[in-house]
Amino acid sequence: MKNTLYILILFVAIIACDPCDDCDAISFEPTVSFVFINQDSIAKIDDSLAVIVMIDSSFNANVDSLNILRDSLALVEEAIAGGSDLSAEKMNLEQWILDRQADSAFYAPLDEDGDSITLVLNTTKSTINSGRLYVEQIDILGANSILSFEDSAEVWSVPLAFDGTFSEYEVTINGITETIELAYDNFQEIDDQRNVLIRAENIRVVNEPYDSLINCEENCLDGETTFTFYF
Amino acid sequence: MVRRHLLFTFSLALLAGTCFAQSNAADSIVVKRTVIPSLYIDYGKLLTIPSNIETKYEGGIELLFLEKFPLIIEAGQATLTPEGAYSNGTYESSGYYFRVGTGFMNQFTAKNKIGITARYARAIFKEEGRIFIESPSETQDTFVQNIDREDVNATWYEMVLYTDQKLSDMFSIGLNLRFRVLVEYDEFSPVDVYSIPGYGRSFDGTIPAANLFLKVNF
Repeated sequence: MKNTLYILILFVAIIACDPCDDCDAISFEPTVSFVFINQDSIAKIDDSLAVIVMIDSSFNANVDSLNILRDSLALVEEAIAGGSDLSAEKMNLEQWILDRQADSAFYAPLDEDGDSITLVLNTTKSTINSGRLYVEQIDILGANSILSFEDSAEVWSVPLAFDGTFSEYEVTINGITETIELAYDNFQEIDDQRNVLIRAENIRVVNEPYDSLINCEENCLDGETTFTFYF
Repeated sequence: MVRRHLLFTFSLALLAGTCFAQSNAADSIVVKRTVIPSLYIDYGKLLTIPSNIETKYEGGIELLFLEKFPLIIEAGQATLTPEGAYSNGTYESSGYYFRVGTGFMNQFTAKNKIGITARYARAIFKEEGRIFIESPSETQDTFVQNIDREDVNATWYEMVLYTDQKLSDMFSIGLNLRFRVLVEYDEFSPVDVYSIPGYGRSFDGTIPAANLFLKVNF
């Protein structure tokens, strides 16, 4: 009987323990991610790629024409040797061949460099599409805080306010500053470590200078939401 | 958690069965008094006084009718500062609680009694605390939220297994093994009530507990 009671007392004492591993303030704030895609540069690269394709196409067409003209010249020379009077046609063909050869001389070096230029342009396009660029600074208006950066990156994490429903950011890229405005609703939650956190939901863009995409359809949450801006 | 509570419930049932099994043998020992009043204090809770986590005081009055049927009124005061309440803040719950109950009690040996009772309990308390959240980007001031709630209520029931040992005609010591079932409390969202004086953590729907007491019999 006594042993049973001692065991129960010990059992109750053990489960009554309430340890505290870390009772300090937590460092946490709601954030969203910004990705900037330089759409103008991509358009220029696409234009350059189109020119390369056109050069390649023109070069190939010129080579085909040259081959046809040479075949025709061979037939004309054969006919002249057979007694036909086609000297005028022969002169024309010789002139056209000279013209096409001049065109080939123009297109050939461009076409030879076309593959390497295309590779460089496509690599550059991939880099731009990944969003990797250098944002000089993000000024959080109203908070008198400026986030300054030293390196380029693909994703830029920006904080949302603890006690607000609206944040305004001035983003400076390549010396050009534009303003992005976000609206959201704050809420509190307690995580598994018993930390009280401020979170944000229903995050949306209310004003932007760029076209944008968001990676969620409804009730966008902090820490999960990414806005992709095309400028 | 479920296994823990099952073990505790089984222990209560086992000891209660033992109590009832002994009742017939004890019926014929002495002439019964109609009412035996007694006072008791929970001396185990006095050990919490030096603690910086909690300070508790608890005592009770018992009227034992026909030496078998107790009417019990208990009251207590507790100040609880569990460090794990909120990891990024401070917290204190303090207030009063009382319990009333009745049940069945019987002589187990010449010096020992054993019994089982049911209690209704209610606590009225307040909660105070502060939550701190720092900005990792350092773009905004540290968020500070005060918790300040007055007159928070909670009610629960208890099944209590009682056992004591007579030290003298006047004094006895004993143990109450309790199984608490939370009925309701004033809820808040999202930072809810954490500790209920006299009960325990609010998110535990059932809680086993134990009290050591010194009883003065009149």
